[in-house]
Order: sequence, then C-alpha cells, then structure tokens
Amino acid sequence: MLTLRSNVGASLSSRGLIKFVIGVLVAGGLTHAVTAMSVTAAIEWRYADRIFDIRNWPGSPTDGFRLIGTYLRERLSKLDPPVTMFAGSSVTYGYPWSRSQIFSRRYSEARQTPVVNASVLALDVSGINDWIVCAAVRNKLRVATLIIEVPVINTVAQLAAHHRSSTPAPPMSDCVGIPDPGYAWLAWSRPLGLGWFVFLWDRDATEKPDAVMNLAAVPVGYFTGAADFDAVAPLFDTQIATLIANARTVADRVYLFPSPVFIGGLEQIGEDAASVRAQIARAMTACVQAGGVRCLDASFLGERQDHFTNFTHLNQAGHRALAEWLATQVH
Amino acid sequence: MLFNSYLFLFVFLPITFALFHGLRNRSWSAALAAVALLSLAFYASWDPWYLALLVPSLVVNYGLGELIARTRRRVWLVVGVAANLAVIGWFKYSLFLYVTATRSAEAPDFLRDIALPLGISFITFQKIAYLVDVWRGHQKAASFGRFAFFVLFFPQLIAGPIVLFRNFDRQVGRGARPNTAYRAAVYVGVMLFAIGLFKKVVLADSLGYFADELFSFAARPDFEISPGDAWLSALTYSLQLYLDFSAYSDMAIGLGWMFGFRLPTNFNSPYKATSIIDFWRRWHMTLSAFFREYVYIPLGGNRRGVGSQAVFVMVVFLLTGLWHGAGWTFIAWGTIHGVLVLFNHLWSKFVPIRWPRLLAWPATLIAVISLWVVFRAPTWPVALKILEAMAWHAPSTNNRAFAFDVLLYTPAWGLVAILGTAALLMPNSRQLARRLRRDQLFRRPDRKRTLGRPQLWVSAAVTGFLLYIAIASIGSTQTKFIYFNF
Repeated sequence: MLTLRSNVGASLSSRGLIKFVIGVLVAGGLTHAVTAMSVTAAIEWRYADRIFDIRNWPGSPTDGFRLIGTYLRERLSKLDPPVTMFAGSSVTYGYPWSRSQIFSRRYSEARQTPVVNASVLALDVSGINDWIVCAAVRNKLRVATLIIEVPVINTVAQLAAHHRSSTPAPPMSDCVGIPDPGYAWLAWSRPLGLGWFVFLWDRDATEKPDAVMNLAAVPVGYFTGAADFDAVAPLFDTQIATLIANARTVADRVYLFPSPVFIGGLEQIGEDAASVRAQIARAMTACVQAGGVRCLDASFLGERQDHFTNFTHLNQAGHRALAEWLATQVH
Repeated sequence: MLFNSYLFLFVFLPITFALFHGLRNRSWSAALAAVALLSLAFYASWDPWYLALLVPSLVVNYGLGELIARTRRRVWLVVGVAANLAVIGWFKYSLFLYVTATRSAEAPDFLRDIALPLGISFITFQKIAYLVDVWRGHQKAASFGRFAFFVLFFPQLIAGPIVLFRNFDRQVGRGARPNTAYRAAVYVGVMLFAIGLFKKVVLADSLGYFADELFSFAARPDFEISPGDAWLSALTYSLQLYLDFSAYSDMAIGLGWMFGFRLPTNFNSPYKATSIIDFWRRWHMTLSAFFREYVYIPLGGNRRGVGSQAVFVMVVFLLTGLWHGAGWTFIAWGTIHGVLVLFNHLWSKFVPIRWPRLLAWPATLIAVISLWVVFRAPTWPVALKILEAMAWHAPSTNNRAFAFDVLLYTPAWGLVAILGTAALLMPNSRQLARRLRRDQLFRRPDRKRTLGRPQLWVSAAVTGFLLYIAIASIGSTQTKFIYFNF
C-alpha cells in the first residue's frame, strides 16, 4: 500500500490550503450574488401580470406571507399612476389559466390602465384582508382603484368549520407591522438554491384551450348549507366590514364583488342553490352596509354554464365577460 | 443525520474534523477513538435503539475474529457467518419469507413492526468479509479499538462503499502522516465531497421528482402509459439512481480523504459499459467484488465446468437481487441480470464473434435501463406496463403523466439529455479524483506534481460554486439516499 503522500500525489502548503479555503468562500459568495441578481430579474420578468403562487414558497411561512408586501412594493414602484389593484382568491388569481388569459389582464387592456394583481389561491375574506390589503397598509402603499373579490364560498366554509368545531375564527389582522423588504434584499438574504426554481416555476404559464365545465358532484361540505350559514352570517358581515375599512385606507376608490358561482347547475348536483344565493346576497348587503365602497353584483355570470370551468372558477369566456363588465362598472 | 443535512455539514462534520486533526499528532489512538465515538452518535441520530444492535454485534464479531485467529477452527467461522446472516435475515427478510411461505397477506404484528436498521446490509457484509479474511489468514484486528474504528468510521457506515478490514486497517495502522500530506488529502476530499453533494441535492433529487411522478402515474390502474412517458420514467430513474448512489460514494470517499483515509471506488461510469459483465465491473464495484471474492470464487467460480459456473452465477445474482430488498421485483431483477451475465459468459466462451462497440453499448444500456424499471416498479404488473409501453406496445401515444403541468416535460427531458450526455462523456469521480491527486485536473499530465496556483484557484471556484448551490438547495430538497433503503 502506498503512503498517503503518494496516494494524494501532491503536497500542499498551509498557505495553499488557506488560499483554497478563501477561494471556496469567495466563489460561494459570488455564486450567491449572481443567483440573487438572477432571481430578482426573473421575478420582474415573469410576474408582471400577477403575483407568483406564494404557496410554493420553500422558506418560512412568515416570509411567504411578507412576499405579498414585497411584490406590491416592487410592482407599484414601477407603474405610473393611476394604478388598479386586484385582491382576491383563485378567481382573481386566474386559476387555472395563464396570465394572459385572466380577467385582470384583459381589464388592463380594455381600460388601458396599469394593474397589479396580488391574489392568492384558496384565500377567504380574512386572508384577503390579512395577507393582501394589510400588505399594502403595512408598506404605506396607495392605489387609485382597488377591486376586491369576496370569496363567499371559501369564507363561509371556513367560518362554518370553526363553528362546527366550536373553535373561534382567528381575529383579522389590524395591519400593524413593519414594511416588507424589496426583491433584492429578499434574494440576497435567502440562499434557496434550487428552491428559487421551485418557487418561481409557474405551472399555469402555458396558454391552454378554453374548457366548458361538466356537471360533476363536488366534495361533501364544499358548499355550506343554510343552517350552518345562518350561524356564521353575523361574523361573515363583520369580516367584510373589517376588510372594507382597511381597504379604504389604501385606495381612492374601492370596488367589491362576490366571487361568481355557477348557481344554475347546483340543484342538478343536489346542492342547496338557495343557500348559496343567500350567501352571495348577504355579502352584497354587508358590503352596502359597510359603506364607502361600490358593491358590484356579478351574479349575472351565475347562470352561464359556458362561462365556468367548474362551479366556482371561470373559464376563459367567463374571464373575458367579467373583464368587459368590470370595465364598464369601474370609473 | 444525512450527509446532505445542515446538522451534519455545520455541526457534526466540523466537530469531528477538528477533533481528529487536533488529536492525531498528540495521540493517534485518541483521534481514532474520538471519531469512532462520534460515529456512534452519528448512527444513533436516526434512532438510538439501533445502537442496541450495532454495539453488541461489534463486540461479538471482534470476539469471533479473535477466536478464529486463535483456534483456527472452522466452526467459529460458520457460527460468525450464520449469526450475521441470521441478524440480517430477521430484520430484512422475515416478513417477506413469512408472507411467501404462508401465501398470506396478513402477517403477525411483531413481523410487520420490524424496523430495518440503517446500513445493516453493508455492515453485515463487512463483518462477514472480516471473519472470512481472518479465517483465510489475513491480519486480525490489533485491538478492539481498531476493529471498532473500521466498522464505525462514519463515511462508510450507512451505505458503503463496502470496505475490507485488511485494506482499511493497513492505513490506520500506519498512524498519523505529515501535515503536508493531510492538507493535500483535505483538499482532494473537500472537492470530492462537493461534487457528491451537488450530484445528490441538485441533480439526483431533481430527477427524483420526475421519476416519482412518472412511476406513480404508471401505477394508477385507470391510466395507460404512453411510450414517451414510459421511456422518460425509465431514463429519469436510471439517472437518478446512478447519481444518487454515486453521490453518496463520492461523499463517503471525499470524507475519507478529509480524515486521511482512502476508501475504495464504487462506480466507474457504469452506463459506458459495453456488456453486462462490464456493467457489473463498473456498478457498485465493492458489492460485485464482495460477491466475487466471498461467494462466487469459493463456490468454484469457473473452475468446475460450464454447468456449475452457470449455477454459481445465478446464485450470486439471486443474492444480489435479495441483498437489495426483500421483494419479488428485486429477485426478478437479480435473476434476469444473472441470466444476461451467464449469456454473456457463454457467448464469450463459445461464440467467436465479438459485438461491435456501436451495437454492444446501446444493447447493454437498454437492457440495464429496462431492468431498472423492474427494480423501481412497486409491483410486477406495473413494471410490465412500463416495459410494454417502452416497446411501443401501448394503447395511446399521448403523454399524460404531467398533464397537470405540461411544461414539466421540458426540464424532465432536458435533465435526461444533459445528465445522460454527461454520464457518458464526462470523466467520472474516480477519474477526477485521480487527476486531482496527480495535479492533472486542469493541466497536462507531464507538468511537475506540485499543486499550482491556477489549479488551486480553479478547484476552489468549482468547489465554492458546487457547495453553494448544493447547501442552499438543501432546505427545499433534503431527501434520503436511495441506497439507505437497502
């Protein structure tokens, strides 16, 4: 067996090893810098029309939550006023369509106005308040127009679940907090490596052909029945009022519309259409009572099966219709 | 504690490294003892109960080695080998044997609850090799400490390479070397470790995502798999397995160097093989060497005629299949490899025609890749479904495995193309390590053998890049090594 020295085949002085270690550290630092700059550029380039899907964030949940503030700060700093901001759940996010096919983009084209869409999949009213509207408040941002989707089905289902389990719904945020960092600071302070690819991968980037929904049963409990709704209706009103109060502090004009639901098909799958109608009507009433905002009734979409891809999500025709209608409603 | 975990990289490794190098010139035994004790902690980090098996087995095997050396009685060798096989048999095969023997889907709870201790297949084989070597007259362990260090040395404890005591202890017995030699060894070790970490975290785990999705899709009875998806599943898994296991070996060898020990090479570009025999000389080389030296040759090898040789080859590959796991797909995988190796031997012996390289290489590669499908598939029907589709015998040619995000086909095929090409064209870790050791990585071989400034800086830049990307990615992709399951 050879000695270790012969195995290695070369000797190395202390200075050589120190140089090697320094070289490794410098190369690592440079790689970090290049990664951070690339990430910043990639976000700017890929996510101008709507926010990334923050549910893919591989870092801590707190960071994910603050990313919305980062996104709003960065986008609004680059747009010329007057800017229209969209805040909502999956309908406004545009699931499952690409960013060129969603109503906020079509609205922007129709009105020739810059928009920023910070919607997050699967949010309820408290989520829209805590995650999106509070992000704008926290960062002292202001837009000319704020259009908010009220995800009625998600919100009522959440509240009903809390009610059934006798656990109080978490209180909504009062929007107090420090401003969020910009992209550059975020990318520099978060060495995520491949995690950036995972996070910035837009699975809805491809333009898909339009699709009309089939009437298929939804999971049990997806729509909340009348009895459960009655129990949570006052809290539902309160949440909408809180959302409106905070929204009014970040926009000159605020518009609310309940998420469209294909009510026309609910009875055919054995769901309580009257209860869903009542929930949407209650959202409208709560909006009107809160005051200071315009409450838009998008229920005309609810009878058009050809505008939905499933009971609670619009297809491309639906997105076009909603954009055209909003363009006529917003002043 | 995985090699690809922050705990290992930023706590365990620095402490162990500092202790070893701090102690080695003062007391070599103390340095070895410190590493051995910390290796126990490393092993216990998965489950402290594993020590209840590892430590007694260490003591018993050391005692048996002493007995064999002193008495030269075969009975102690038989007892030792049988005891080691009984341990692995109980933990790894008892449930499978029960279910097979009784043809029952229901097994008693105590059998179902048996947890496979980590690295048991590797540790058992090393101990058996030690006992056999002592019986054959090789040097026994000079002390319990030296034997314990051999078994416990953490880089090779969980998933090899399968180190032979006689090779390893020779290095340990030489004591501490000059500091200059250690510095060069650390430099080589860090580079190899960085390459391995990058291969695991960035390459193998990325491929693993696609392979897992594709095999899950194939396992769904309501979906037919297209030829495109079937080939993609076979290719992604073939590359993932190679990169994952060779990454572990690279890291183990690199860690070995960091402590001044040379561990055996385990891979030599297996997908460049031009025959199945050649493949087994390049894939998991230490396992192949173990079976050759401790099973095939003792049985008779090729010295007892073609008929016996055929039986011995089949025994070796049946054992190879079983070693990888207690399941019929592993047995089928090993058996088919055995048949192919046997065919390869017979062809070489009796047919004077040699396959041209241009035919032999793709034929070998396709056979190996197809058999990885059998190896990976959860059941035999799923394996057949994928293999049939690979043979273009599929009801549909629509690729649907990534229908939820068709854009994923781009990185999946891109990775296969890039990494497949790299696996075939680039020097492997063994060659890289050799060039590094001879200072030929970035310069012509005829230059003088002192680490020069350009090499040092380029090595540092590559290492820094690989380490940064790999370490930064750990948080989002940390997964076990595939061979930990075996």
